[in-house]
Amino acid sequence: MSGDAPLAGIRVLELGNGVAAPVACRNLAQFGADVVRIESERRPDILRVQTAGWLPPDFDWRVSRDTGASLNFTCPGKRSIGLELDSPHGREVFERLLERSDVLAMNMSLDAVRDLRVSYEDVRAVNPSIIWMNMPAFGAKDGPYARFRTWGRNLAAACGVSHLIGWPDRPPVGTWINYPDFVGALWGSIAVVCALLRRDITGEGCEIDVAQYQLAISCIGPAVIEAVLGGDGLGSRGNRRDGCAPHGLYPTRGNDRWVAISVTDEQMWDALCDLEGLRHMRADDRFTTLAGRLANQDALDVELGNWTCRRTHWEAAAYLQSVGVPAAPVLDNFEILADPQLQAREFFRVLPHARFGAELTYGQAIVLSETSAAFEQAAPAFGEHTRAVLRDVVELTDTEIDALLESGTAFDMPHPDLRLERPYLHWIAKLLPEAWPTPRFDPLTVLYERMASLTLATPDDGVKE
Amino acid sequence: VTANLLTGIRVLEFGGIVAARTGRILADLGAEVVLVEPPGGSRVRTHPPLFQTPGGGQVSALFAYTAAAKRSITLDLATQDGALLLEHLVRSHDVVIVDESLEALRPVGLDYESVRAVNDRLVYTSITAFGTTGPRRDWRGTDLTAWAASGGLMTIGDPDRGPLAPGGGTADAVGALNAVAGIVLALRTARRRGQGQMVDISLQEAVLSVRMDYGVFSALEGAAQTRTGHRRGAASGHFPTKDGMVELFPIAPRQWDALASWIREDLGIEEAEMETFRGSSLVRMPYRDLIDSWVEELSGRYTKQEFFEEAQRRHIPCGPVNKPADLLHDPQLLAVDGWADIEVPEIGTVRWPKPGIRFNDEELTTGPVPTVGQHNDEIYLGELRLEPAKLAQLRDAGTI
Repeated sequence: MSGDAPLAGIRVLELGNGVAAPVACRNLAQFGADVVRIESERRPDILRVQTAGWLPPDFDWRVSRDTGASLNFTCPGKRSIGLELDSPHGREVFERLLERSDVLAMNMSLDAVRDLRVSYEDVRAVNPSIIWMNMPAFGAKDGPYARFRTWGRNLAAACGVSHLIGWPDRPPVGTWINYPDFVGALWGSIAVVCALLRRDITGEGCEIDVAQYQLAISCIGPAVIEAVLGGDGLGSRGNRRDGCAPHGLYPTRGNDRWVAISVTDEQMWDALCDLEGLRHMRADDRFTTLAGRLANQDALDVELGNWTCRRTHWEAAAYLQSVGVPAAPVLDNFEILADPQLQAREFFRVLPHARFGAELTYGQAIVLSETSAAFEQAAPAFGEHTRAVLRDVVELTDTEIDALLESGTAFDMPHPDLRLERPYLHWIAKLLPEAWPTPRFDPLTVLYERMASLTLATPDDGVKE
Repeated sequence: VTANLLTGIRVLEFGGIVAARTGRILADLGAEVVLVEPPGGSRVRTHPPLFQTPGGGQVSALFAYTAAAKRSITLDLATQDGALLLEHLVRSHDVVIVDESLEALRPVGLDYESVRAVNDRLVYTSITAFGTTGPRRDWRGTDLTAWAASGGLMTIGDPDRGPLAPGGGTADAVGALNAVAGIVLALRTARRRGQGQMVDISLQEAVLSVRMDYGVFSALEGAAQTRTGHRRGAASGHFPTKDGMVELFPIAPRQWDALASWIREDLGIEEAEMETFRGSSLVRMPYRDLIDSWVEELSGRYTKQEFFEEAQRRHIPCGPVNKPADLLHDPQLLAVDGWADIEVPEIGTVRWPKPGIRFNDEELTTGPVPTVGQHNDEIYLGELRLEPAKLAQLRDAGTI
């Protein structure tokens, strides 16, 4: 890692699961921190054991906890150590790691924090200048929801975001997107770096409490203020927005293809009426003023739809942009992999992975011109760096490490010589600009034969809260 | 105060709503944020929805929310004096935030090259629809186009209609958060190495990054790319109550078991606990219509808040589908003191949600919303040491 990286020399211990803490720490790892994820065999990260469509239903997780593809979004560039904190020697090792770290970040329930003895008080007793962060859904402050269980989508509903997604004549549909987790993650990254900026000067650590619920609410603050001031708080409006017309998704050529058009001021409307095929709208009395367009939005949408449907979503967007009207094709998940803009900015990347040889990863939305994010490794395999971390950070001898592995206190990557391959690897190679590394590993059929020959314990259910 | 982590960091903010949201977060963290408005006032001040003030004026909810704790000065950048004052301001600040295209910024000297020539330690922050590089670098965009280009909309909405985009500025909000993360990282480098740089945020990438879990991985792994309305699997999604919807997501086997017991206890349907339905959520998919009919009958007996609390008591993941107005009565927000009272000109005190982050048990603090150019004297006379006569002259010329 370059010495110029913003977080060079900073070590972060992560007790993360799912999205919030892992993504917060990913941002720290890609900007130079040494992020060590402490992983448990008993309670694996839910994204590690996410079922992949191509895996047989009876796949034995003890063979490999590396199949969850989205871990390559949440954990690229980190190290993974397998360590059971609630074993006697596990605690000792953890405390030695803490002494040699700057940050401890987690997203754990208040009960788990207490049971694992990883509260700020517990941890500060070991390392007084530690920056400690937990990100429980409703925060650490006592309230009626403090111990409630949520997934991102339940929280998206509670915080008011889901209500904003729907048609005016129907109940809101909400979203699958776990918006609050990602808002919490970004705030988590910000909070840790701010705490480091302060520690650079004062030498003092601190305790950071991230309440995802409240942070997601603050993202839609203007809608909340509207409600406070007596408005309806931006209810379900389809794709229309207050004071803007035309505004929405318009049909284009092809099956289920759409273009987004977002006219937010009079200059944009004027520019739109410069386009071939739309000039008649300038002379239409119903549309000359914003008030007229707002009152005649249905007619306006028909006129515009009549123009968009004769073009592809890309063509329509490009025409509109050529005169300065905000527009974009509604892309699907496959189109974004081949999007020339994302390719030019190298957003998707293929990085080395211990189990898969290479994996698809997302890039960084935080783009810095001089100290750019590092893209060296995809997600670590489960326990991939146990030996390296125990040796180099905790400074144990090989004999001591062997004893920890044998007693089940620590564990390293199971079946390190076993290689897996994503079935869509060849297909995606066509979409990505860079050459996908030539597959070096056995095809899946060979893998399952090898799996069958391994004697393994009963798999656990792999699902956790 | 511990929570004012960015005390002493001086920020200049120009432009529109994403810059405004970015500046607001920095101000919450203790930075001194100066909003530089054109003499007629920022266009964010007229961003809808607008509210009538008792005095007959209008106030934008978005502006009020994003301008809190900032200082406001006015400056016409297109004038010669304006350009000179901009140089002085850039020299004495640590961060500049802009959210317009190069085409708009270059003529007024707010492009990266011009700003860096004046102050090379500065963290220059650009937030645009697609970033400052690549074939679409000059494309314009809004919250809606960011969601559209993110790949996420095709699976949001009803099966019989087109896709739906989230509203509420949710794309702008994550663009701003990415920008702030970039700024604080770049500030650490600026401090340690004396080197400034550009933070280049693309709203497309920012939104793409918050939908990882239903993004390309799930599509590549074989998840259906269809719109399924407000239901997302058996007993999963929105269910109607007496006064609105709840979002239910009992995915773990024991969470389903808990829901099945609740159905049996309340409705007397013992079949809900049948072995057939137990296990992973995939097991229940073929019986989805039947199971959903039971859950609808159950949820219809409660208000959304009652159902939410009872579900949680039974350890079933659930949330009420709150309207923003419902949040005003939310027991959690009241218990954790989640509301701040902010002074908004011409309206008075307005309640709004505090950001839910605390450092050493301290909350972030905020301040009043400034009027147009409220801090002209303070900054031009007090900090830039302009002669009062010169300031008067600039005012007369309409530069300030």
